[in-house]
Amino acid sequence: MAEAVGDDFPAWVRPHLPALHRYAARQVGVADADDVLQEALARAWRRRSTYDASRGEPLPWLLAIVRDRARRHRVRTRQHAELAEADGPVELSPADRDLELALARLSPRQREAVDLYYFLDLDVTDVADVMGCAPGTVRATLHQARAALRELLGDDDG
Amino acid sequence: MGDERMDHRLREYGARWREALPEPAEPAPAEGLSRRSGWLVAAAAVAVLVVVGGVLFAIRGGDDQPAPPAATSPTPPSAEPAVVVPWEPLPATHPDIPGIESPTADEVAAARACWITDLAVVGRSVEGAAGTTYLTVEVGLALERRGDEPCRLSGYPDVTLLDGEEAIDVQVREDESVGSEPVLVTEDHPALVTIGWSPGHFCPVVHNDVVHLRLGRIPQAAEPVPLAVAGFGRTTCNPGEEDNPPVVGVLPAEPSYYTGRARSPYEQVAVTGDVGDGQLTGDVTFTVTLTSAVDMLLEPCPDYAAFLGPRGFGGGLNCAAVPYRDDHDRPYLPADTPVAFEMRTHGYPGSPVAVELMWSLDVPGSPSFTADVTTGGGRSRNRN
Repeated sequence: MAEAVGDDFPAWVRPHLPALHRYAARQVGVADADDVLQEALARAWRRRSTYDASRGEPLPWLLAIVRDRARRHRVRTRQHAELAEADGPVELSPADRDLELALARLSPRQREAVDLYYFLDLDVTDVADVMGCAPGTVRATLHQARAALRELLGDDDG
Repeated sequence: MGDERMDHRLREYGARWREALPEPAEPAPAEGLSRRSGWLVAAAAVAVLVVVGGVLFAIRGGDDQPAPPAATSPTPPSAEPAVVVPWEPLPATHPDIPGIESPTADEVAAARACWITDLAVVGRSVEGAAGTTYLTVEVGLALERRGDEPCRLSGYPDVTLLDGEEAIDVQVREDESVGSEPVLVTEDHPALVTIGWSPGHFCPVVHNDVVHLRLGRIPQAAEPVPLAVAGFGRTTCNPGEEDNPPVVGVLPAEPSYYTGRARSPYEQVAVTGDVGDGQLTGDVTFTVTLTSAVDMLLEPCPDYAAFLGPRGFGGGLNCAAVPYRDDHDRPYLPADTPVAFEMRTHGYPGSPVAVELMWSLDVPGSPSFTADVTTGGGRSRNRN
């Protein structure tokens, strides 16, 4: 069973900070990621009594809160698509820029799987926990996403 | 081979992206200041920012705790100038000092539940991000029909998307990741209902003209007219994409932005400080002065949290040494009476360095004292 929150909330959440920060950065860009993360942590702390350790690991619960805060942040700040292009940590080459633009055009589910697997570096099992599906479904979704990206990028080899 | 190459490309770019991403900001490790207290300062600060940004919020330090009692029949303050409470290296005790919600949970619970006929659409906005369109509907009171009595709304709306007169077959999913809390709908503050859908890559094409919302209690006598707003428009479907109908995500009703901020018992306490010519080598001594606009009971005694540059420190306020006492011998801050507290921490050894000193009570909504300090004589500028 996953570990309950207990009295030391910071210690409980600290191992997940890197993943949460990466997720926030993928959602709203690097410049706003800290703000969104702090909002999410404050909300998670206020709602910590609602976390049920018997239902799974903390990371999916925390990521869902980050996702919600990121969405509300985008609404408040009237951000639009292609945030990664406007505000990413990496100096974008033309190929990187094309990749980010193609990623933005994936379906939400495919984009979610790609972000969690390739950018948060979660394994398939953890991605499945976050997305609420079977690992096999994650693999299939990633495969579909890669196929969609190849088509969008005009990669005709294979 | 193409799939492997794309996989490799994503892995390589993802690794570069992660490596280039700055570390997330978090409080520095502190002496005498537990991580919990440090996080509470950060969380509380964010909670206040969220409230000031306008979302109704609870800034309670604990759940369902009564507000701190007002000082009763306090001992009249003397005519002496502000006292200086001596320094004591007291550990933080993490007292449960609740904030004051506005409106309170009791006020929300006491309001009668909204009927759908109490409600009207008073605003609509659409935002798009990363391929998803978010429709936010402001649901306020139908003032002309039922006056300005507030009512309570909670839960998820029942959503129907229409193409002309026909309901569109789309999946509607309630987003349960955010939880749902009752919302007080008032004349000035509507509830917000947010619906999101991703119109791309779904087949077959649908055209959503109108969104119907049913929320609040529904009278059984007759089918009520739902709230209606302009819809999302047309989806896109690229050749070769699979049959994949749109999915609509629905968030529960939430409060709209409030212009006032939630109340904290310590928001009426002004915090000023005097660094004097503090040296950063060896011990740094300064005073912090608290001046409350009202009689402020210091029970439970709050902790304080401070930073000298990146180094955090904190502990318990020396309330036991505060000379002002009420009839129950409890320490308190008399209204409009400055009470200074001596503070000490370690300075920075070695070369002179200019840093910022920040001090506040470790209570949601507490003002803070900030000053710029340097070694070798110190230049201080108070900023509240």
